[in-house]
Amino acid sequence: MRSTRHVVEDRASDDLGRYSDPPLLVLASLAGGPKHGHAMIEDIVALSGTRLGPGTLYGAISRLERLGLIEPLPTSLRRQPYRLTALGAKRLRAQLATLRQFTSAGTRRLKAL
Amino acid sequence: MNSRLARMLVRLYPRWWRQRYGEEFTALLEEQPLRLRSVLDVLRGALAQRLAAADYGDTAMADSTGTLLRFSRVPSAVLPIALSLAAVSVLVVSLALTHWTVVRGHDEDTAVHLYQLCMVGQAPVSLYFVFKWLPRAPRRALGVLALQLGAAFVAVAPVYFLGL
Repeated sequence: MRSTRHVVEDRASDDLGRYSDPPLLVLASLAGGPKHGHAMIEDIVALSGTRLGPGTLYGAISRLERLGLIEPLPTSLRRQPYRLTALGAKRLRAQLATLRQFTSAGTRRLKAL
Repeated sequence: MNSRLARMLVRLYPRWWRQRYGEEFTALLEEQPLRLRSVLDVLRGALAQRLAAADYGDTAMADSTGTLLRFSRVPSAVLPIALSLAAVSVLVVSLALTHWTVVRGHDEDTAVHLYQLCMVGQAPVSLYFVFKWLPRAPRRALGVLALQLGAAFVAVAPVYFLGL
């Protein structure tokens, strides 16, 4: 049986939501190698616990492609794989560095409580 | 999701977007299980792409929906279109729930009420838009009005043609 404490913690977690920045999640997924849409959705679930909807995923893909951060590879069986560009990798590194700073600062503050 | 529904949903996106991503996006939708959340996510994505069409600065992308961008922060311009899309989604979902079988004579269903609410509710909003914006910016307001009417037609056409 689940304790009340767990339920409360789960509810608090639900209220805050999972981390979801679709373009960043797509970049992080493609950092592991080229993927098509369905593979990206599943990889992002494994990576962050967030399941992007198809409209959200393709909103992010079209934006990232327009910015030159990802690029399409030759199509296979109607599936369109994408890969990270050099600019995309650079942008992802910068974003992750910012997140690391944020995480470190947040952790330090929690320790001081 | 069956391919017929997937193709219907993809048609909600602007033409330039469909030309670029239509085939692969349809293939992705066909791989997804049919869930209300996914359908709503696609509807939201289509609306976002239509609102963003002219923002990219590429005239090829800015098809007839480009006029809407100027009014994208005017609720009376956007709300009727959103309500038509909501009415379409109610239709799609209720048809999907009956396994694409047309069930007639259920005038008191929640889905019917929701559909009617969406369609009737947009009339006063559109009228307000006409009275407020047509005198100020006639050409652009007519463009938005055409989009509102087009969206309403898309919502009404299945009811008329399927005799729902």
